[in-house]
Amino acid sequence: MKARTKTSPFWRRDRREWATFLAFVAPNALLFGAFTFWPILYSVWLSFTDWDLLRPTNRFVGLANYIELFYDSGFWRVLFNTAVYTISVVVLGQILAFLLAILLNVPLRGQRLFRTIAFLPHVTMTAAAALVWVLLLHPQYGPLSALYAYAGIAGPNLLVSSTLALFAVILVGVWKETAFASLLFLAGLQNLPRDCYEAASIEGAGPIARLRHLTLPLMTPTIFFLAVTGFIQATKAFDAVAIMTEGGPVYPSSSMYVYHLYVLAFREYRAGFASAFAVVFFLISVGVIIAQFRYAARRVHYGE
Amino acid sequence: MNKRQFVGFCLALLCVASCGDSGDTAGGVTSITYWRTLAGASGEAQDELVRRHNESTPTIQVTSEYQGTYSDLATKLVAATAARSGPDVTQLGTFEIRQFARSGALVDLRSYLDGEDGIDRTDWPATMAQAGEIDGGIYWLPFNVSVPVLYFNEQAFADARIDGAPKTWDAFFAAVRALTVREPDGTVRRHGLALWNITWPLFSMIWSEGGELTTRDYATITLNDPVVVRLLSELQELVREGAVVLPDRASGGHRGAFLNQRAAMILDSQDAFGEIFGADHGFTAGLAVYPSGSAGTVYAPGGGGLAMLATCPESKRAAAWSFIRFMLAPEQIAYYAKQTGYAAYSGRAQAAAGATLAEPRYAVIHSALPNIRADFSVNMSPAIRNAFNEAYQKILVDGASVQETLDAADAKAESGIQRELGGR
Repeated sequence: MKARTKTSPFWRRDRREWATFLAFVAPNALLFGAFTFWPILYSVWLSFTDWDLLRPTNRFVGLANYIELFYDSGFWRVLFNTAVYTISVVVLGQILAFLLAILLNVPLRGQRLFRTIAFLPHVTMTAAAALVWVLLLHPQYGPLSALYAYAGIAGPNLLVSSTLALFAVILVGVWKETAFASLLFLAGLQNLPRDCYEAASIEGAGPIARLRHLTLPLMTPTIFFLAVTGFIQATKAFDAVAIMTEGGPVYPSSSMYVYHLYVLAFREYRAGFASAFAVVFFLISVGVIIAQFRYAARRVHYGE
Repeated sequence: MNKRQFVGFCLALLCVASCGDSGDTAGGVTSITYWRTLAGASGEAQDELVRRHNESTPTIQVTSEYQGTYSDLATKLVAATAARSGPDVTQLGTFEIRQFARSGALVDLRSYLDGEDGIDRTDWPATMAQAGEIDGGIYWLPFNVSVPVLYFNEQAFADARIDGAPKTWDAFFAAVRALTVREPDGTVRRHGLALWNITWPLFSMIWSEGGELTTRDYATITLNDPVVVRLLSELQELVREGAVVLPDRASGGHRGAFLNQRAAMILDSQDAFGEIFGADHGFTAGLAVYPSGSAGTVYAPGGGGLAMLATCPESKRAAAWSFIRFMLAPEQIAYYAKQTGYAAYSGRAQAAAGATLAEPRYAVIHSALPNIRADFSVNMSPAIRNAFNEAYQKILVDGASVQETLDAADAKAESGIQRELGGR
């Protein structure tokens, strides 16, 4: 046996083990290859062409799409909008979710009902939620307009203002993110070690000090997880934009990167240019996630 | 069943599957897939026409498949074309004609039109017969033709002592002001006009005042034409005064504002018939053609047409054409007009529609037909369409400088059209 292992190449050894390994890996690898990696690579190739989604052939245009993108005001606008939306949803959503989780952690009668209600926005389809928000924000018939009227002021008409429409979309994003994040924060809060809090109390730490020096550091894994998943989710914002504003008024005042991609590819038939958008966005996203992980390596406490 | 038997069974199954009919032609019957848009009465009437076709032509059986809105349908057609699959015949809006035709996604219908089993187009409005002409070929034929119409609140007109719909654009702007009603504190209770958030109604306004946006070959683009500047300045002023509102689509848009009596008039098409006349909204709505301008009466039509997809196999194209011919026959166009309010655009279709056209609403629509200019150049170019639409909203929503905004839009459209025409 020993002599055999010395003379045989490694793939001949443990052939059965290799076969088992491949049998398990191949289906996933094939699926990922076909539906994730191949489209990414194909998008990169398309970004150097002028393909219109319809022609069977396309023309190689080199870096023209990337150069045009750099000078395109639409690119900078949707990048800015997406950054504002993502930061608002992730940061504001987490702050609100954390406060909500603290409230939901208080032992009260009907606690389960409150928790269910708090989580409902997350399980509601974004398209449906967006429609409800359109009604809530309706300038004549929405409850918010009634509130404004009661207060004797003319409230802002968010959806018809090119400066405020983005905030209407952000509102829906924050509302949904708060629901999801609050559940994870609640789970995190319930798993915090009681003995640390007892020790801190004995040492004379007040509620603020306990929050700052115990709760927040111990919650950093949850915060980090939510920051990463929230970032990925927020950058993909599409449905709320499509339902509420279609990127307008005065397109692309409230458009997001992914919605703009869709418009370029499927409304303007500029698949090559849209692919350049996609590639740039992919690189930006990877960069941000790497930065998040590097930051996490220094700041996230896993309790070792 | 042992391993050998199992493999044999699978091979036999494969043989049966591959030797069998693909579903396109079986027993002398050719199957045609037709993708359509429009829901409600406009969709049901198409399905009824398909049913009548199948009944009258047993050798060609058409399946009608609803694919959502015009833009949903276009998106699905793009995906289907890329996958070399999809329908044989499709309904198609005006936006996609040029792009699809130039990309080779549509079949040139000229040889069918002028062939033995062609269509006599001598009684079609001249511009309508050429509407689907791209680079010498004809890729799109009008089916559901809509004409621009003005809807107005009759009570509001009576209150403002306005006798009937305005006949000129100047009278129209004056009516917009007169119809605006304010609360004692100055806030607007009812606007004179709710504008659509698309620029289509403006085409008729601009053309009838002697303005142009582009030539059909895109050699000259004039989004900053003095007439366009003047008309948009007037509308901007009316927005500032509160006489005109531009509601967002999600909150009900211009139609919602009209139906809720927040606006006394809207510039729309007969596509809104069902919504406006189909239910009681607490007021009587009137209908009129758009006003005329200093250069005469010109109406920009809308709606959709029929096209044959290049993915339709050669062997089925004669059947696909036969179906298109059936759908565009005067009897079918007349039936569709009666059921939906779309225009019976040809002389023989109007004759086939008979007494229906005497009904006042139909009479209004059909009185517009002699003055239609079926020029979809702006719609067919994403660069021009988007540049103009963006400028329109900047001017009316943001109150931007009209001249500067239109100059910038013109420059943007110029560079965009160069790219679209391949001169990158």
